[in-house]
Amino acid sequence: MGAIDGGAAFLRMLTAAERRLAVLRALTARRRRVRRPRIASAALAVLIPAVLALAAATGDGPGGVLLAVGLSIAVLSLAACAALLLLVERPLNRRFAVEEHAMIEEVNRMRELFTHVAERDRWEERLKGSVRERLSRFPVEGGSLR
Amino acid sequence: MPDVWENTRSRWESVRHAVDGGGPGAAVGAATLHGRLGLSVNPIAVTGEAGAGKSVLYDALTQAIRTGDGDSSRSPDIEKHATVLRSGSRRTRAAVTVIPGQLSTQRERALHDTMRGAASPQGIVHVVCWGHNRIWQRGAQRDVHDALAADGVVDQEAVRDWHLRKEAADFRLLVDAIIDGQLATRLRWLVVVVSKTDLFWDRLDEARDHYIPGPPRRESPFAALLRDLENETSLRLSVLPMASRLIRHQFLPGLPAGTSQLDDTQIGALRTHLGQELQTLITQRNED
Repeated sequence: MGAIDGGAAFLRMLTAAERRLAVLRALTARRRRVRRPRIASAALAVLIPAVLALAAATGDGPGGVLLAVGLSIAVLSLAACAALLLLVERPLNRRFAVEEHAMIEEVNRMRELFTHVAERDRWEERLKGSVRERLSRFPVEGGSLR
Repeated sequence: MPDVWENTRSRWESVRHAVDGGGPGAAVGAATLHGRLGLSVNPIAVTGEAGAGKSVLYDALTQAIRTGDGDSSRSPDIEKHATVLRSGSRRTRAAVTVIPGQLSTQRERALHDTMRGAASPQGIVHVVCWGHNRIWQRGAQRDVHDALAADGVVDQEAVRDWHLRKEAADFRLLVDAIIDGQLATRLRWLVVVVSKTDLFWDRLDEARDHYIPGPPRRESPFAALLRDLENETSLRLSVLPMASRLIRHQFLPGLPAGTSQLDDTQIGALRTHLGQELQTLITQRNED
């Protein structure tokens, strides 16, 4: 993390933090998109064997072909669920956590330095107002963007 | 007729006298806030810079903490409480919202919900701490150290001055917004609570003169803002010392740590006086 040794560095860091915020919002949307098929495949992996078992318990049970197809779909669903979780969702979560932590760190530093930098560089009221507004778009701590 | 600020100073001195003289504690007939769900009657907002002790102050008034309790933590979100203020047999309901001190989405949401447009608290408790704010992150602590080192000396007074400038800038926003009618349009009173006074009880006169307007040429920026508020509005204003609990404070890593100069009984007396002041302000408003 770079030093905030003046107004220019402060504004550069603020722009970088805003980029991170945009990345985090995109990651949140992506995580939601991945979560839906993962939950659907997990549901299939559980429901199909349950239905087959129920059918077997209450009557003659499904035919051999139906049983094979059903179990194949269940296994494929389980595999898809595991693949989505391990290969897509977890890496996304890890990246999200890293980006969020870095962004919060940077923004908290800027919150602490804002008054000092604005006074030292004699920022105009309009610039101060604009920076205040931009800082107000960030959360205090991690978790609220999830 | 005595000047409003002379009265404020007298009130401050009477609290100091009660504390120094082992005045009334928080136990008998004390005015305290008690948590209770119910109809919200008197909306109150607690404002102030990050690390000034807003949440701890609220907890102290509700007696949710005792003076010797452990360390506090930064509040990540808006805190809303429905409470009953008790003083003897009198009870007053209050809806208290602690507004986050950091510029953030949470702060904007809290301001929007409690102070903007038609929403307005009847009273504001503005918490300050004479530059004894806590900086939560190590990165920010390093930045403050580096910035002060670039300007000269890094000592307790320099850090205190750093926070006082931030505190005045934060208060300016509040005062300007109230005077311009952008915030809290139905506000009736504002109390400046000088918290953490147990850390600087031996310098209480300096803190008093910093916060309470006095001779115009020697006023601090904060006191000048308070005077503006008095000149431009009809708010009832008050400034009181307070300490929520026994604490240890270190301005920055590497600087000497300060410890509490008061004991439990004295802190109890401070709580009592603040609670009574709040009760009086709320009750007077209701009787207007």
